[in-house]
Amino acid sequence: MSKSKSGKLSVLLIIALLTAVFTGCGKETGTVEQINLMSWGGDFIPRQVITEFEEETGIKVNYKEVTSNEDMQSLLEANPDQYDLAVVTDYMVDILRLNGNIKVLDKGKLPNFSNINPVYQGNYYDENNEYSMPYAISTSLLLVNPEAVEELGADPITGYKDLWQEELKDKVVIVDWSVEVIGVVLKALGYEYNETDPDIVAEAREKLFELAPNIVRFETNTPEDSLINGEAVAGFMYSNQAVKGQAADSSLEPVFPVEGMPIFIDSFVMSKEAPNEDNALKFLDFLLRPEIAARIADITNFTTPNKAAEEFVSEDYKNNPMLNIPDEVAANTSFYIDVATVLEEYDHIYSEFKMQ
Amino acid sequence: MNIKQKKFRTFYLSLFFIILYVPVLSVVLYSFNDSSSTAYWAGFTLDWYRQLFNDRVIFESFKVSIAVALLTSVLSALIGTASAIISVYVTKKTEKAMNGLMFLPLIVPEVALGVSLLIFFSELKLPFGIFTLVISHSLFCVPYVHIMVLLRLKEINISIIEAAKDLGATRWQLIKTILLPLVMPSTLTASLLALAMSLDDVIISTYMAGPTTTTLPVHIFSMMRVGVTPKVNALCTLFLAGTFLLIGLNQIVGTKGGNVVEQKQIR
Repeated sequence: MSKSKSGKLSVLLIIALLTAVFTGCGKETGTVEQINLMSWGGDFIPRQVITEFEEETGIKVNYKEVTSNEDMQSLLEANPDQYDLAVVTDYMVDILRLNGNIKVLDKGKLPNFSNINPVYQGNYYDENNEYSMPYAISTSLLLVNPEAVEELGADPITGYKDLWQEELKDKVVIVDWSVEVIGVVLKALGYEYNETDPDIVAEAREKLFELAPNIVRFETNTPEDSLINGEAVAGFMYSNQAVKGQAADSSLEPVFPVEGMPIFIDSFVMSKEAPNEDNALKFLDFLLRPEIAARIADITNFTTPNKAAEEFVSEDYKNNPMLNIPDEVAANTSFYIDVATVLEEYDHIYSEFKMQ
Repeated sequence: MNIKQKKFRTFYLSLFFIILYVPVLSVVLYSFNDSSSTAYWAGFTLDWYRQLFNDRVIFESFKVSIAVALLTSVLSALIGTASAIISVYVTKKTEKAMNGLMFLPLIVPEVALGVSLLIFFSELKLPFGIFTLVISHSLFCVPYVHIMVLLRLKEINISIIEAAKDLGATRWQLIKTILLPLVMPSTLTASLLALAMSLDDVIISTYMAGPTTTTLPVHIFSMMRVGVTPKVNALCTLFLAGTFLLIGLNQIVGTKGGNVVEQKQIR
């Protein structure tokens, strides 16, 4: 008796659970004023800014978090009618635009778009600024402990080429991505990123292998920690990581490599079949307000492309050349273009290099 | 067993557990570190736990994860147990085919599974959310239940079943009064496993989650771009405590069904 009773009970429980789920779904699909947004998580788009927008307009922002540009590409391709906005990196804007996954932004509804610094407009992925709204800018650069470099008897580090010095054995940390690491090598040799010429690639391969003894760690998530704890004296990392590293240890200094450095412009794009276009544009225009853009920059440690925001940012931001990028440094940056064409070859070389 | 052997066994086991748990312990340790960097120790604090409990987003994604994991474990326990029992009643050929099909979701790379499910569900015009998450998680959890229950079924003494048949039990009575109670411990163990695996999943969840249903692992993983704070260490610590609790529970449930006797026989 008790057995069958508990059986019936569990069946009832399951039915209750399932109905709970389905009614839950029903509530969400009501005709609420909302927008569906997708991007990297954490505070990439700060929650306090989102909350402020929700309170001001009554529009609910659903923030789907993903881990890569490629995830966003697949989702925009499969479900164009479920998403309004995505934030993708420069090269992905180009891919999405060519594949017809995104639509032209209605500039008539973005009066604040004029706040965007012209320096960060008209790039190869969107020559006429039709499809993308620049949101966050980051670079990759060198973070160096000059005193420790001197103690080792090495020359001061001014560019990538200085990383090959024998004195720096086991003292360099570098991000763990083939295109980026080989980019460092190519630049040190005086070439551009993502070269495809077999001779140049072969030369870079050789030069890369010579770097191996100096590398103490490949680290993408917290390379700055290796410098803070003294394991490394120089590192090639993303600017937001370098900013964090310098904040934790003031003896560390950023070095903008003389050979130039890569730049990433993460930009908002709108899905081709965006279900809430007007609300999405309201959100974008809200983010373009100078004081909001300044707050975002202060929270995320990314450079804002918003020119008008410069009078609202914190002193820390203003005085930090990694964030408040000087024009001459900005002029010496370049994008990783056509990653797809070189990725296989570079990955191959890179895995050989790491197995050494 | 002589003393030398015993000493070696103790040494080997301690080494094994040290290698396994020291990295995990450092995660726990740095959840109490008074600095946002995990590069050095800056003193004790409970700040990260305070921040964790005030984090609305982590709380929301945790709720989604738990709901999905519970539903997945129930659904996959039902389907997996049923399929295992059915596979005993069909011909040998069909059984082999069934088992082969069961292994398929375990062999196919998760990314491929995720993308194909994404295409499949969008063709069906199903709204993405908890429903799609549960269905897709069950896809890779059912095989584990199936396999574990099947193994238990094969262990059942055939004379019990023959006796039941002799006494005129119908097929349904046989299943209900003999097979189901006997495999229940395995089903429970497997559903706990399913719970853990569903809680763990990142890749498939990335594709299956709707605009409002980010799961906890996806949330943590997606934070990499901006940088992870020791808040995540604090979360891991709590999760670890929870996992140990679950494993303990699993041990208690798992040893109920006569496994103790079998283990003793092996020794």
